[in-house]
Amino acid sequence: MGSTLARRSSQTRQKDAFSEQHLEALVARAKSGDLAAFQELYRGYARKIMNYIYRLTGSREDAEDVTQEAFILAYKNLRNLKENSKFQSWLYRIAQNNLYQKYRTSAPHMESLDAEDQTSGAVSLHSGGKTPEEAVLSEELRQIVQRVIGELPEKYRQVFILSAVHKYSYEAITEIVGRSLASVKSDIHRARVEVRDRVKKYLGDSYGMSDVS
Amino acid sequence: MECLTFRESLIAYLDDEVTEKESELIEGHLHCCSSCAAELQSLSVSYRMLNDALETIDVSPEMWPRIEAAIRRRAEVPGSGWRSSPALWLPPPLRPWAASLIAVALLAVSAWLLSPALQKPDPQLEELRQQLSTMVEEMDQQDTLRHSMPPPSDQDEYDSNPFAPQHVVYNPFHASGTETRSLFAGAEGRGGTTDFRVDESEAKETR
Repeated sequence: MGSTLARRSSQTRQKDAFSEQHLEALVARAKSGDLAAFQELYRGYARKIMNYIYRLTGSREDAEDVTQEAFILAYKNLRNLKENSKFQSWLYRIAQNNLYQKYRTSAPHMESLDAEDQTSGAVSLHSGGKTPEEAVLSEELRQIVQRVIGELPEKYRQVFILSAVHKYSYEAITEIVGRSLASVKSDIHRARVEVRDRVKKYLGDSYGMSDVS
Repeated sequence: MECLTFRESLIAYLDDEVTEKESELIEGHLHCCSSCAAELQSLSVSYRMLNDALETIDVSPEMWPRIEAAIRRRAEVPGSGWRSSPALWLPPPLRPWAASLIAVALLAVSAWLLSPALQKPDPQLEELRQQLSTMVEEMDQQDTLRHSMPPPSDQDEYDSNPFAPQHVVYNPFHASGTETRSLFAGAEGRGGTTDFRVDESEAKETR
């Protein structure tokens, strides 16, 4: 039934920027004030952190600001990190906390489509007469996907981005978001189904998603 | 009911987050349930579509210089809680040797501070010593002069300075009643005053 074809290959799983041993050595050096080692850590994780924040906020400017401040705070608090091997999840949490502090009263909220936009989005894809393959590559689709992610409740958005976009293992995600594996697994499932349903709503049945519910 | 249970595991199955045994159970169910197989296909398509549609942004090349500058700037603020590693102030090639360089620098400074060349006498201290010596000599001369004069009356001495330590002891119960003598009488008898001066001059030489 194509189940094995659909399954994600383990090769697509997010690869670690460094081997565990190398990571621990770099963090140890950075802890002793070696800025070159910290720069290497930055090279390994800055892009990931920035894209994660970008997916959460939809704002490139916020993503840059939060990422920059996250690395500065990480350097300052590096000695508080007990397990050097947990640097990545620790850094993600710093970035997340920094993002929430930036917004203080409310969690970052991406602009969602109003009713008119939703209609126009769906119509434009259909009226253009594009094939599903063309639609997947279109800018309109990109905007829809970004908006759908932005409409997700915060806890679903986090785990959705980390699992579906950044392809982190569930265990790594539990470390980043600080919730139990069962909770993360459940939230990932709900988030992914929710995103699928909302995208399908925008695109209509022409996309080729079968209605199964 | 069985389908609902399996469907809750389909995302984990897509993500390779199920055990081998769970995977076999799910695949067994998918072979005989077209509805669940279609659901899996739908989720898989949306998964690929999302990844293709989402853009990835690149980090600005200016970000690291800004971070490095901020780290250095904040490390300069006293009491900021920032680690102000000495390594930060060294050129990058020397940073791994920071600890060794600091140790060598400390040793060099200690050696310089302890060197005999630095043990020069303080001119002010020397001047003070000379003034003190002069004062002691004058006091000796006055002391000698006083001993050569007749002692003042006991009452006058007591009234002017009840704690006068010099040569007056008045004992009203003494048999003679009016006898006075110097506390240094014994010493004078043994040449004490002279000895004192010699000792002082020796001390001056020592100083």
